[in-house]
Amino acid sequence: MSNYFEIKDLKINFETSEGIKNVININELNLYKGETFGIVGESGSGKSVLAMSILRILPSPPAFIKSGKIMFKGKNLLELKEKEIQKIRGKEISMIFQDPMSTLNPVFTVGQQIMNVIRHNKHLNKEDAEKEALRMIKLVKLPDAKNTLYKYPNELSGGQRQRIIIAIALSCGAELLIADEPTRNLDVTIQAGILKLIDELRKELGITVLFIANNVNLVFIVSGRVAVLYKGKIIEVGTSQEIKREPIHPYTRRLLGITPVDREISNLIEPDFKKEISLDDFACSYFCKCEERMEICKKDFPILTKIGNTHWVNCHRVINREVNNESASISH
Amino acid sequence: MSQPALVIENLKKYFPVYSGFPSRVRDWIKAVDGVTLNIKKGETLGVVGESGCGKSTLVNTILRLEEPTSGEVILEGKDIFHLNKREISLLRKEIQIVFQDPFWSLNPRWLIKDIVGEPLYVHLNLSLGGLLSKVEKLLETVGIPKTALYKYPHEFSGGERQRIAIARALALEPNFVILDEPTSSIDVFSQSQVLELLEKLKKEFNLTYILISHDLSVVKSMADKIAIMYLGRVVEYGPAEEVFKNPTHPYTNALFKAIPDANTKDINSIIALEGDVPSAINIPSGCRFHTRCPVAREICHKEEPPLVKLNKEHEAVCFLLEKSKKGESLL
Amino acid sequence: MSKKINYYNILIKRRLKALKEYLYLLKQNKLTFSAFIIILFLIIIAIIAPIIVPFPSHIYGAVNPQDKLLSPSWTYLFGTDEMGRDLFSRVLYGTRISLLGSLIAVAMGLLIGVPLGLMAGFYGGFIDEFIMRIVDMFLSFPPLLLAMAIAAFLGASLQNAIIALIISWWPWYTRLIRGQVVSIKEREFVRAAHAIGTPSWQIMYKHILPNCISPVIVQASMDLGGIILTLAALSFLGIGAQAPIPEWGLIVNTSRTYFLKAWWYGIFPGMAIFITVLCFNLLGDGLREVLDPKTKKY
Repeated sequence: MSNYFEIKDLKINFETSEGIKNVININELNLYKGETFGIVGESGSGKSVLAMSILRILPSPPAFIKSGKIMFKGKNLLELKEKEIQKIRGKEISMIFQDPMSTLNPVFTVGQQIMNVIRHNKHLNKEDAEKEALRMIKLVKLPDAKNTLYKYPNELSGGQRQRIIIAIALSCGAELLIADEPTRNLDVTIQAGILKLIDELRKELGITVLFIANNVNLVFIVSGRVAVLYKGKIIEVGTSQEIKREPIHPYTRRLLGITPVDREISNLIEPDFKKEISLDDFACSYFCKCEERMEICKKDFPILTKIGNTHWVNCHRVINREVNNESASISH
Repeated sequence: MSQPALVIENLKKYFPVYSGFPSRVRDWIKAVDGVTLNIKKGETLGVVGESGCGKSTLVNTILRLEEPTSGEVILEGKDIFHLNKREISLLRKEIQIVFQDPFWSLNPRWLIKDIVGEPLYVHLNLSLGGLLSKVEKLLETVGIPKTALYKYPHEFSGGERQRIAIARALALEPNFVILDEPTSSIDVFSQSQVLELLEKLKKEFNLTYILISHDLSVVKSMADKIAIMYLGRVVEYGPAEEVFKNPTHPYTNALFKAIPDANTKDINSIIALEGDVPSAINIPSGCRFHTRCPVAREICHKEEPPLVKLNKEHEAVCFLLEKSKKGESLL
Repeated sequence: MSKKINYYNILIKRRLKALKEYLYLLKQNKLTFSAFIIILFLIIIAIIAPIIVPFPSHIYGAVNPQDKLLSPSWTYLFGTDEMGRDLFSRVLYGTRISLLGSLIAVAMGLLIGVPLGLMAGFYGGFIDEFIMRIVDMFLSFPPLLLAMAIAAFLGASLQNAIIALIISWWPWYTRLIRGQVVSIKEREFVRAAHAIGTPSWQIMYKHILPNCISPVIVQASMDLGGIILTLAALSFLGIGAQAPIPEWGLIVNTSRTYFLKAWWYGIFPGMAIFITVLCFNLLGDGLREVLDPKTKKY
């Protein structure tokens, strides 16, 4: 339970040519002020859908938020009218994306783009806006700030553009930054710089960062607490140390490269489980790929079980272990 | 067995930049600027580098999809840039490539049987039945069921598509296969499957791999030798184990420290390099890495660093290494 | 041997399945589907016209002065013209002329334009420059002036009008295809084909073309309508089909003189033009939607 930011019972469905598909099914997710919370998920896990749903920028159709609450500072973001959520976007919650080139408008200088956002939200005159823009460019540690103001996006390198994007995102005092794969398109040596920048800004400005990526090692070093997302459900959550030290869920272990890989090539032809065994809608969604599946995994979806101070896992193996311990409640 | 099967000798590929009217060549993009490598048969050479280092151009040139500006590539004794038409066709059978993007490397409008059968169709004169059997066998080798023959690429997952691409690459029974980021665009389950498959095929068909990847865990698990590229040159080369244990070139060091792995503790353990990769049109004077090198000295601005042999096969291109090898103090 | 039969079996089944999918998608959009049905209907009518035409002799020649300028009746469904000819029969045959004429024009335009566009985009460099400058040149001729010039040299006729239109239309396809080719040839499956050693023409026609044909199909279907309109316009101006060919535009032209006396004269061929062109436009628009979702992920 967090008073700052909490997602509760969120269910998001997609309309596809093959019917309605459930894309997000999260019971609970909390963010505390000033932390970096990481979400690890591969493509198809729903992490971008989750990020976009917070700011209500999901294309709807085909996406539909079926139920749930996203509480931010006491207000349910999903129930706000468009005008009200407009006030939150950019000013209280900001988002940065994977590809800086498509986020920046190639026909305006970066200075103009920062100033546009500032003037729109803060109603400053031109000179003050320019001073603010300059301050933001310095904040993201771009050298030669004065000249950078007048450069066009294509005159900057990928890393520099991403810094500009961060500057724009934080220019109006946002306190929650959602970063969806911010370093995916960047070289590794540049990536390190961006990650360090985000961490420094978090400490300097006291913001909260929701960091989403599919590189598990990246997420672990950047975040204090991490949630692992698989097919729209959180299957493990805890501090980076806890999970790294003792990853419980088979998927987490596979992501961290711990699962020994010694299957025969013949097993590569995966039989279609849905036909062979009748898979209930409530079976564990990881059943088909799990090397440690048990009978019960086929019939029952496991509930989030506490196994450490802040470490929760969604797996029947753990529930069996915990059967003798205290109640497997969900409250953090 | 110890004869180098693929020799790349001072290979250069420059792309012209036109400007003015009428078009004149104003500048050159020095994508590959003097690469020398030896690869032994049955080896896996890992090539590591960031964008702009020239690895894609290197690969294109080895495949003769680009003509080199200068230098030689000798494949099993034959100089690949001086072949007649028939020999070029034979070259295609010798060396093949698996691309990074499993979605776009297969023509989305073609059936799988045509995609995998294309090399056979172009080079061999098989009957329809013969072609189909061969394609079936190839798919079997990579673990794809026969029913795939009449399906389209979009009906398969990323990992499966990558395996189909591998089947296509093996159709003509090449000795060399270039793997261009084979696992970057697929999910973690498929990654291990694909890597396993590649290892198995290597042993079974005695293949020689050139593996390009920025995922160090993949390079670590597969490569025998590794070459680090920066701005068109190889800056460090050696047995994979050795280079991972003792990265000597400052760039290699920075690169390894910038990539987080399972052992990286926190954000302070990763190193960020200052500045950006210089453009390949204006390569820095002296050592091309000096603009970003944390330990650059005077001489690095002025002269090109020598190739320093560290031990048997481990070598790097750096002044500081030369000095430390000679026992001199590091300025 | 059985493999061969099996192969063709499965191939046919797959093609049928794909066809069913397309029809399903087409049905989604009611408007497009109606347009499609109407066009099918028109095609069928054009084909069976010789069988159902009530007054075959009225189509071209036979003058029937006692029945001139009669208003529509059960005998003469669309009325008669100033020579006593049944307008229904003439407009019916006009369908054949318009549909066939535009089909030929578009087909020839594609036959010239598409290969040139493929070559320009694929080879680039000098070939690209050369072909595109020629395209620019041809695009600068106003179709009307071109038709008039050809009419002046070779005489005014339906055939010459079609030739003029082919010359005016092919460059659009070249331009359309070339743009697509330039972006598609960078795709990895094209590089893969190069690496396999596939000859260039095979890469162009078997790899690149299937992937860039959709916008051309859309444009061509809309052009079928546009060409009918332009042919009618040329006939209207006197430099296209000449009497006694029952081309719609020509009939409308002739009807001008009798406009006040015989309201039915120009209306029916005019409506025919309108409906046909409208349906082709709607079909083209709808096709755009149908052909693209293949790449949609949802």
